[in-house]
Amino acid sequence: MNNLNNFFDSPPFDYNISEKDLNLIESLRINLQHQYNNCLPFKRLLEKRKFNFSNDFNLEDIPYIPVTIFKDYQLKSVKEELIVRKLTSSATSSQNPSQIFIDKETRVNQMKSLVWILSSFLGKKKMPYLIMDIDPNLKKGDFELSARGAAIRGFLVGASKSSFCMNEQLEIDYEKFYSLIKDYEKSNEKFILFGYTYIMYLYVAMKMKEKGEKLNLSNCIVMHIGGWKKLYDQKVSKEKFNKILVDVFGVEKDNILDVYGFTEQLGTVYISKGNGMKEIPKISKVLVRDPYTLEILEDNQEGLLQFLNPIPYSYPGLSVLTDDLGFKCTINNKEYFEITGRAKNSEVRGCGDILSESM
Amino acid sequence: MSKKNEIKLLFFENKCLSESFEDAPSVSDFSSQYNSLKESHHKLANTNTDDILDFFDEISKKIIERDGVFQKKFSEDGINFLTYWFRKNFLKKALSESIRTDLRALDDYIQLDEKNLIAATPKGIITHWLSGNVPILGLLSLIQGLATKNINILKISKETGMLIPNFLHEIAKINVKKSSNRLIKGSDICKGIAVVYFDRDNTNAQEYFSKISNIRVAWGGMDAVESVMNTKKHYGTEDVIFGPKKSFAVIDKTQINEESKIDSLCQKLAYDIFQIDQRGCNSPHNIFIEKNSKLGSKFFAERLSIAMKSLANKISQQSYSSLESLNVLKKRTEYDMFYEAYYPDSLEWTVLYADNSSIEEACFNRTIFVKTFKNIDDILNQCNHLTQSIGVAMEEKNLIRFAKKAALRGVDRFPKIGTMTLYEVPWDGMYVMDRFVKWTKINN
Repeated sequence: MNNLNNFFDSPPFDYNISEKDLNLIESLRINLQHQYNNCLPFKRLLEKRKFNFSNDFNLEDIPYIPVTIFKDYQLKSVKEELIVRKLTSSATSSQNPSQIFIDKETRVNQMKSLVWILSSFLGKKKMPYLIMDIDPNLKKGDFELSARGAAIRGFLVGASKSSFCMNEQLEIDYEKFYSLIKDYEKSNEKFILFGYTYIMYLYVAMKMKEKGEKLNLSNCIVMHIGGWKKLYDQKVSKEKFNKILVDVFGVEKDNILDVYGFTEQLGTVYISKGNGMKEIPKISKVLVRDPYTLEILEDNQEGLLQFLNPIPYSYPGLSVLTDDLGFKCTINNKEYFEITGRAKNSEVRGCGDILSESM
Repeated sequence: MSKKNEIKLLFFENKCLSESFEDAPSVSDFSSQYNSLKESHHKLANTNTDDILDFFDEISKKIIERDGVFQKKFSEDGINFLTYWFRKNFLKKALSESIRTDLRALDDYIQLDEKNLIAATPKGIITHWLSGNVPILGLLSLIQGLATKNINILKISKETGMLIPNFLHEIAKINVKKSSNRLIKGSDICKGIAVVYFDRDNTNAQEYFSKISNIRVAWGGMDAVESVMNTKKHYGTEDVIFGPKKSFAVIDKTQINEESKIDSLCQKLAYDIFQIDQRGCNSPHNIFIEKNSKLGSKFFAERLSIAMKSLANKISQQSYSSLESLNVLKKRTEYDMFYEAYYPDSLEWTVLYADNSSIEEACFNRTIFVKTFKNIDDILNQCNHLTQSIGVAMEEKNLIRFAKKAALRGVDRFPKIGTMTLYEVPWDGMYVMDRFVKWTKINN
């Protein structure tokens, strides 16, 4: 059993770091024991790295798995018949998507965690969601859209009702969009403008700006997910992004929520308000590793982000090293982090390197 | 002039034209430089080959001077790695092997047989498109272009910065006094060299340099070489392509029947792996060990890790990207989970062992996959036209049989382990200097 109610019973950001770390160590110890007994490759990894979870250890001592492993191997820690869902990542960074096998227990904890964290930003009352994307039912068979749709559906746990507001060409359905906004304003109902980061910026805010459309959505929270990968090339900073959204939607800057999460540790989301940093809930530890020495970096130093989280139970995803770069910082005994980019190849590369890509 | 259409002029008439790449002068029209290069060719074409070789020999001496300008400015860019190419003995031998006749044929018509005279004439203008990965390697084709008395235009990559122009600026200052008191001036030999840069989207410049070239030399990845190959050229212009290739090594069980032999081979292999941190297409990434050897292939992997550890203390690591770190970490994790892995806490080196014969993608940064094979056909199946070198430690009769079959599949070289990263003649299956000259015959 992976009982994590001790986390969910109190607010996600109500902690002090040392107490949080001790709680995490104990939960991760139980999970490590489970993984060791039920996932042979993970057992071998712990043994090779000479890590004994029965002894005293620090969080940074726990061996990590690069997330890309899940793209090549189907790693499971429960019997096949207990698997209730297979998660697939959107595979934007490689040809193979990650494959994550979820049992009921993991699923329940993921849902609990998501609601727990979201409600601390949005409140407990459910709100209507205006989804700035294409309804996946309109274009069945579109893999990318269906992956987006699956991620969006995951967030609708906090929605009183939801409506997709873009047409098949990824254009705003102004009639529907404005009519819904009018209704919510009329009833003074708070609502959420929700969608993928790049769609919200490129296909919604920028398109409205080009058309000279301006709104005054004082009663609205903008929540965007999916990350900044598609905006890196356009050098869109968070500040610029927020400024455009504030100008176009007329929302308060602090009502713009940037949500970060990843398939390999689904359910735990990291949310920032406005231009702020992402808060780290008590169920997760983020470590920043030097990409060259692999040592743990101090606050404000950029490195590869490692995430430790006791929720993954049906697969060995409790300690993963992502290909995201970022830095951490501690304020008032609370932990925050920010993403700065993705691990990338150096400009100067080998000819053989280029060959492996083209093959 | 928009940046897209500009041609940066970085080295011309024996001078590096700017301290920084960004501040280098730009031209939209290269024709005056082209005319000047053409005019200088007469002098170079009439320079005695022996004088050119003496000039290069002097460069090799200057390069190794401990407190000399070359060690100060270029030692970290791998210039020491190429010193032997400047040595007269080496270059003379390479030139002889390449043209396969008396070297005097490069200077004048020589007697071919009773009735015929023959001479090797420079083809004219060689444009070298250099890659960004190991820029110093581009000097290999420049040396060969100069030794065969051609005009050489180097199109460098942005990442290379001012390395090549600065290097040429220094060698152009070198003079050699012959025993007859005659002076060979570096400036005379280097006057026929220009270094330029233009953006990859500058199709006008790409086509211009392609059309003025008698030979196009392209170094780099598939995109880079295909971009050159797909640019229009004049009929008769020849392409010499040094594109992307991969290398590995093979050891048969007769070569590893004693611990001392294993240790010796491991030291040599580690040396091949550490050279330019596996950035060359001749660097090994996989080694295949024949099964059923006396001490076993896993033992070899263990001993190789010891050799790697020892060499890591002596040779510092070059920079690598965060994505490359992740690739190595992924492979370490994979091999810890399913096979065997040997590595230190840092990313200085990695030995990954699996008892199978499937070849792995290169991870670079001193990462070697130790694999096994039962039958040499397992290895042959891994060979194709993109296999550059197979480092070998095999019984001679086995080696020749294997090399014949592998060469048929497209492999270029079969160097001994420990010499894989030497650049030699022929290269990529070509006698390059022979490609740089035109043969003419007079019936006398």
